[in-house]
Formats: sequence, C-alpha cells, structure tokens
Amino acid sequence: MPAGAPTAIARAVRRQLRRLRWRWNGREVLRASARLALVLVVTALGTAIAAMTLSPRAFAVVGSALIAGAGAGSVVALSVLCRRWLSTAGAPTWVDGRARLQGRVATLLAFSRRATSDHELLGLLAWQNETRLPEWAPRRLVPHVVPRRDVTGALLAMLALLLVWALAPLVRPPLPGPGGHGHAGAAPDANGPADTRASRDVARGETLSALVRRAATVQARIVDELWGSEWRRAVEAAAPDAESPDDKSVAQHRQEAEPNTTTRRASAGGSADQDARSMRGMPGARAEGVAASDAMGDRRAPRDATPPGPTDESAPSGVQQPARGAGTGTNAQLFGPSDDVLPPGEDRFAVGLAADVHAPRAGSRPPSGEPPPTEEDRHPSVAARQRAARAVLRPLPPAAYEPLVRELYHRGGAAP
Amino acid sequence: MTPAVAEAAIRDFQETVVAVRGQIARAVIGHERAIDTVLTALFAGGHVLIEGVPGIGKTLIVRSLATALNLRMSRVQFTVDLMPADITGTRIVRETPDGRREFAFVPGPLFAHVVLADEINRATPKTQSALLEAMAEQQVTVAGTTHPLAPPFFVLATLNPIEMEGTYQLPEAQLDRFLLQVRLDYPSQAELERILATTTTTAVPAIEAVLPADSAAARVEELRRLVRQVLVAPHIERYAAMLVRFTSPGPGTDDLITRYVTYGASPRGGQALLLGAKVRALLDGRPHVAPADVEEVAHAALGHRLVLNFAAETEGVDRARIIERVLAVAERFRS
Repeated sequence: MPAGAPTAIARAVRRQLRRLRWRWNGREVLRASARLALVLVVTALGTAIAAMTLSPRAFAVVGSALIAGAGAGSVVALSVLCRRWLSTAGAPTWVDGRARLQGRVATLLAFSRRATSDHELLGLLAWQNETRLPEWAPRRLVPHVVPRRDVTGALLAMLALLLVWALAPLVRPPLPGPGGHGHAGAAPDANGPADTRASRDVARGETLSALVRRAATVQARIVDELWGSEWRRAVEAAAPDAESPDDKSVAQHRQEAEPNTTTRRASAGGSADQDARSMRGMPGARAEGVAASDAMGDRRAPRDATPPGPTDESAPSGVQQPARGAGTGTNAQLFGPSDDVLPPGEDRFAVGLAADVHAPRAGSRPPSGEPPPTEEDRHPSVAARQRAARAVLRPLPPAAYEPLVRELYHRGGAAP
Repeated sequence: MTPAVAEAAIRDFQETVVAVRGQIARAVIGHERAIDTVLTALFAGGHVLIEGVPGIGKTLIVRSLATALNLRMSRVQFTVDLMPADITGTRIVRETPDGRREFAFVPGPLFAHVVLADEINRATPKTQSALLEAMAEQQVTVAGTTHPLAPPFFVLATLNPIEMEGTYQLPEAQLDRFLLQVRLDYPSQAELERILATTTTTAVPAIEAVLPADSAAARVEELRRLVRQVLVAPHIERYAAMLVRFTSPGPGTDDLITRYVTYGASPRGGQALLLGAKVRALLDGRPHVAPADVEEVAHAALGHRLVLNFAAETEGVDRARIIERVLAVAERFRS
C-alpha cells in the first residue's frame, strides 16, 4: 500500500477536480449556448413564417408571443446553466455524489488544509482517494464535452431557417395584374369577422394601434428580406393605388378607431406602416414629402426638403412617387396624406400630429446625399403642351374703356 | 498511523462487531436493527434506553451482549423500594484481622462493565438520579468518597410502556443522558415461530465470547478510541447541527414541528448523531462520516429527546414522523 502524503494526494485531487470543473462547465456553457441559439433560431423561423403568412394584426400577436417565448426560453436556459454550474466549493461534494465516493473527496479536501496529529485516519482516507482517482476522471464523469442533442437541435433549427430563407422566393405570391387590387395571396387577410375584431380593436385603443403599426413595419422589412424589395416595388408600380393587405388591415384598424379622420387616409393609400417606413428612409418615401405638405394645405415645402427644381415639371408627382430633390430625411406624410384625392369641395384636412418622427434629435433629419439624377422626359409631348400654355397673369382692359373709366372715377379737379 | 495500520484497525473493528452480532443472533431471534443500535451505542461510548413490552427479549439482548464481549455484567431490577445505595454500593463496618473495626466500601451493581437497569421507571426519582449520575460521570460518590467506574461502563435501561401505574417516568433531562434509544417491536410470524422452536427444548443456545476475558475491556476501549478518530468533514457537522436545530420549534421551522413539538433535541442530540454516525462509518469500512451515516442514526439519537405536545398525542403524531420530516426538510443541506 503506497503511503503518499495526504497533502500531496490532496493536491492531485484538486488538480483533477479543476480539470473536471473545466470540462463540465465547458459542456454546460456549450449546452446553454446551443439552447439559446435554438430558442433564437426557432423564434426567427416562426417570425419569418408569420411575416409571410399573417396579417399585421395577427403578426403582431404571434410576434409578441414568439418574443415572449424566446425571452422565457432564454431565461430558462440561463437558469439551468446557473443551476448546473460547478463551483469550486460545491465540486467536491458533487464528485462524491456523482462517483459514489461517499464523501471521500470532500472530507479529504476539508482536512488536508488543517491536518493535525490527531487525525490518524487521514492517511487512510488520502490513500483511498488516491486509489479512486480513476473512478472520477474527467473523461469518465463527463464523456462528451459537446452536448450532442442540444447542438444537433440548434443546427437543425438553423438549417430549417436557412431552408425557409432559401425557399421563400418560391412561395412568393404572383404580381397583381393591371388594375388588380393588392397582391393576391401575399398575405391572407386574417382579419376574420370584421365587426367583432373592429369592436375589440376600438376597445383596445391606440396601444394596439401602435403595436400593430410597429409590427407592420417589422413585417414589411422581413418580407422585403425574404421576397426582395424589388418584388415590393414591382407590386407598388403595378398597382400604385392599391393597398396591400397589410395596409388594408392597418388602415381598417385606424378607420375603426378614428372613423372621422382616417377614411381619407386609407383611400389615399397613406397607410400607417408606410408612414413608419418612410420615416426610416425606406424606398418610396422620398417623393411624399412635398405631397404630404400639400395635403395639409400648407403650401410650404417640408423644412428640410430640397425645393423642386425645373425638372419637377415633368417628373411624376403622384402619391407614393418620389419627388425630385425631396431629399432623404423628410417624412413624406409627416402631416398626413396628400389631398389630391379629397372629394371636391372638401376643404377640411387631417393633420397627422401623431406621426412618428425617429431622429437623433427633435425635428426631421437634414437631407443627405446627392439629389436624384434627372430622369429622361418620358412624355415630351405633354411637356410641350404645358410649356405652350400661358398663364393669364393680368387682364388688360380695351383702350376704348379708358375715357369711360376716367370719367366715372373723376372726383373733381383735374383728371389724372 | 499509516494507511495500512488504519485499514487493519478498521477491519478489526468490523470483524469484532460482526462476530459479536453473530453471537447475539444465536440467542436473540430477530431485532437485528435493535442489536445494531445497541452495539453502536456501546462503541460510541454512550448508554442505551430500550423500550419494549415485557417478554420481548430486552434482557436477553443485554445478557447475550455481555457474554459475547466477555465483559462483567450486572442486572438491577428496579423497584419502588430500591435505594441509591442498593445500586451504587454502601459502606459497612468490617473488623480487621487485628481486631479493629473500620468502614469498608462494598461496590454495588453499578461496578460492572455492562449494567442492565431493568424497568428503570419503577424506581423512585432518587434512585434514578443516582444511576443517571453514574452514567454521566462514570463514577459514584459514597460517603464523600468518589469511586470511579471501570471502563467500559455501559448501561442498558429498559422501559416498559405498559403498566404505567406506580411508575416514575424519566424526566426529559434524564432521558437526554441516553445516547440512543431502541424500540423493540413484536417479532414477525416467522421470527416468533423460530423463537418458539428454539426456546422450548432442552437445547440452550451457547454464546461464545468474542473477546478474551483478560483484555476484553481494554479491547472495547481501544475500539471506542478508534471510533473517536473517524473524520467528520465540516459540511457533515453542519448537516448534523442543522438536523438538531430543525427539531426545535421556532421561526423558520417546519409547520409540523411548530405544531407538535414543545422542545427539540439538545446539543447532546448532535453529539449522539455524530458519534453514532462514526460507528456506522467504521462498520462500512470508511475512515470518515458520510451524510447517510448521520441519517441512519437520526431516529435513535433524536427521537427520545423530543418533547411532543398534547396536540401530537391526540392526533397520533409520533416521534418517528417528526424525525422523518426533519430529515426531509434538511435534505437540501445534505451536501
């Protein structure tokens, strides 16, 4: 029987304990990371699928649930990591329990630092520990450093996400035909029974409205990523006055919540998500700065917008069309939608005071970059006709009327 | 002590206990757990209180133990008229060969290694106190002279839970002097059949002494010293202290204890826990105590130290249930 010094054996035990802790804790960190990745990827997957298939309102609900689930899952994964983390103090008793050493390691380490002559059995305990070192070797207690099941799950989830990403263009809905209304099949209208939903939404008020608006923005971005922004532009170009189902749902929600003010906005295509999109400088937002300022009856150009140049006369200036020189920092519908679709005779307009302004400081951002290049005149004949038309600036009275007028307005004295 | 010597000593301890147990089992049928507890208390250096109905084998266990260990044994049948001098010894006038008369001390039955105090609750408190003082001090004082009791001094007192009339219940403070308590249950059907078969014939079970007569006491003392050397890690001491503390009602204690326990175990209970656990560790061949050792002796070490209230009595809550709850509550402090 070898009779190694208890302190030397205790040192060896500590070394092995340290190695075991590294191995175990490393595996637990990997496990937690894999679980966190799994949670995040599954959330992303669910969000992407929801963005492609749900209406903004349903997407807001599902997205909120997914985010809450991701948060809960992350908390659980981290708490499991904390619970299973092998601390220096707890490692000896853990090893004793795991390797069925009946407290040998913990007792040896506790006594090795304060060994005195009256601990005559300490030598035996140390020897028993020495002979049992292989029983709890790190490779034996923790055979696999990589938690295969968790890592495999995370990888599969990532694979599924990539698959969805890659296959998303295949399930992209077809472009609407000429005069079509919306992109058919892009997002099934999940409004359901409109009456009940409307009443519910009205009861919820502006909070839900803001949530849906934000969700719609996120959804639009995700759809842009999955189906490409070109697709969306093409949809808008094909049906400029058409609303997407998203727009419709949000606009419908607004209409339900504010029946007096939103009818015109919805019909003008100024949906809430477009507001938000335009605030973030998304494509299609620049041209609406001037139009929006016109819409509120204020003929001033937006503060930071570039004044229209001579080329503006021939540029398309309809709703949702970029205006030349409008800059990039102005919300096209900062003050509400354009009034070019207002019913005739209608002299009231809605001022969108609650429009979101996302800028580092208060106020709109200054224009950045170069103004868009001048495009070639696609309808020169129309332009020629417009140039030919002369505005009647001041009507000149016939010369025969002059004596008569002078006589009428003569007030004594010499005539002028 | 080298590891080899220590291992040999532990092996010797195990073999001695196993041999004694085997010899007792030749006469006593069943009661294995009770015998283990008695042996645990013997080597831990404490005394045992045995509780059981008459005729169940209490005296037989003690006799068999003394015979197997080859220790001097005495038996005292406690009665109401038993006086302290009857057990401690007394001074008598004796005439010397030269014709002078002087007082001489005649040792009582306490001057033995193994003392069976049968039905201790039938003696008066005065006599009980004399016994308990001897148990605690390992000495008796008669007429101003102190007489030490030869080690090992091991008292096994029996209690008869029935026929309570005319008895003097041991106060809790005196119950606390017993390291462990053993409750003897009725034998099972098979055990009873074996008892009947072996005790109603002419054949008398012969118990052989495990230890030599001249060194038996010294050997037992040696084994007791070995028990004291068993290592107890701080977390085990913490666990034992936690168990003891959880038996006392107070803030943060379990509801069951608060409702049914008037007084919990004393620090002596903690000592009993650890000493008993040390014996269990040695019997398992270990030089150190594990939590399981503490739990194994928890019932015997703590049960008789609990003072339950009237509610516990009326609702049939016994000490075993309280100890079980204490063990369950302290589970999280086990390691």
